[in-house]
Amino acid sequence: MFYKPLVTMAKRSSLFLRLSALLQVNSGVLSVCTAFLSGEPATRLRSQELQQLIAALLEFMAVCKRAIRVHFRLIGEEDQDFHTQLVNGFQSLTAELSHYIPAILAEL
Amino acid sequence: MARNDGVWSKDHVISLRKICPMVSSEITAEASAAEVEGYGSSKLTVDSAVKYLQLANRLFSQAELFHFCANILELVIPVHKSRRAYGQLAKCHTMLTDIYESILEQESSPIPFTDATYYRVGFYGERFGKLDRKEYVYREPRDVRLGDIMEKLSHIYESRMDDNHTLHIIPDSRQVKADELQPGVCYLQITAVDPVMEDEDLGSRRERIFSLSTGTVRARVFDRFLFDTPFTKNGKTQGGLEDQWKRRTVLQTEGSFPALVNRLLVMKSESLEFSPVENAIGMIETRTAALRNELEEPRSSEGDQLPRLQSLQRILQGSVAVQVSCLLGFLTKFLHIFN
Repeated sequence: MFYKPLVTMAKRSSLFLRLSALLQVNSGVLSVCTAFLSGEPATRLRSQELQQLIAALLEFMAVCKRAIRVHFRLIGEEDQDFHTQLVNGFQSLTAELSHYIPAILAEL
Repeated sequence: MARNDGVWSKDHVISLRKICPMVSSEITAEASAAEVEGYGSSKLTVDSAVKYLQLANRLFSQAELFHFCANILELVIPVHKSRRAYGQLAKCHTMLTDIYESILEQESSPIPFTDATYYRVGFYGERFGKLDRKEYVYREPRDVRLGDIMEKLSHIYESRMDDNHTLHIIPDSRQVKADELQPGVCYLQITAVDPVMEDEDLGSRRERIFSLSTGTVRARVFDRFLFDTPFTKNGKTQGGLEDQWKRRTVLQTEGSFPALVNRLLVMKSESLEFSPVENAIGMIETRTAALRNELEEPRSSEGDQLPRLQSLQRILQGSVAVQVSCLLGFLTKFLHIFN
């Protein structure tokens, strides 16, 4: 009877710690777009590099989408809010990335 | 060992060689020749070999090197089988159960297991004598940090300096041009290095995540080590994403760890460079691989989904959660106000 709140608390605290540690990661995908895809990327990157970068970003977002679906199947009631945040975050990220890769909206 | 013992096949010898590369074909051939000639034989019997293997099993178990234990017991089992020693066989299989459970526990831990830490140490300066301009890889206990080994080696080598020589530690992993160093100063360059897995693709631009490559039971015998050095073309170490290059240096040692000595000479050093965009693509591919790895984990079919959920949440949070960027914005604002 008592183990569930404890598990949830432990999970929350570990997530909080992880959140603190992951600042750099989230800024990663958008920073990459700003650094390499803003302006005229074709003048700075080779065609193959550009294609590889876009393919990597599209694949990343596709796997994220799949992971969010799996997440929904795994969670209980107490994680619904967190899931909503993830969905909103994913949508915002897609919208941001679409400024650099318009095709992303059709792909996802 | 007598030829007619017949409990171990070639595969067993190959398996033993993976744990202890010193059991090379040359040594085996030499021992066999000595035996045929009737002198110099090792006097190693099956029984004494089993005793050594059991001792090795105990020591590996103490060191939490369970993958070695499993391989060692697989060598002991054929002996017990051939002698119909069912009690010993039952004991071995019970131990194997514990060992594989320990391996599972080790591999599912969010903190990757390390049995040792490795450091590249370069010596530059005439006071070092034979060590001058030589590089070694040191194997240290797993709780030894870079600062610890720097302190330890400084202490050892400072005492060897005289009035005309001082000791200086090179704090980064840049390529040292020995001819450009100051005379009268002895330099130690100490860099943390990672052991390289046998089947690892060193040309991969992906970031190295040790836990991803330890999905299967592996022997931890290493003779190659690597370290990455960030650099920019304008001379600074760190730059923006669009300027950030990375040099990967791979060192080949004379012999392999674990060994009877705690340092091995670097025989060969090779490096390759990754451009900023390659690094960026690598970073994205690493995140994708981590997420996909989590989605395709075999444990997904098992009952307890909590570890999987936690792991998934951790990676998703780092990938798509907007509040992280908001938090970053808040911290920037906070720092701005108080500056």
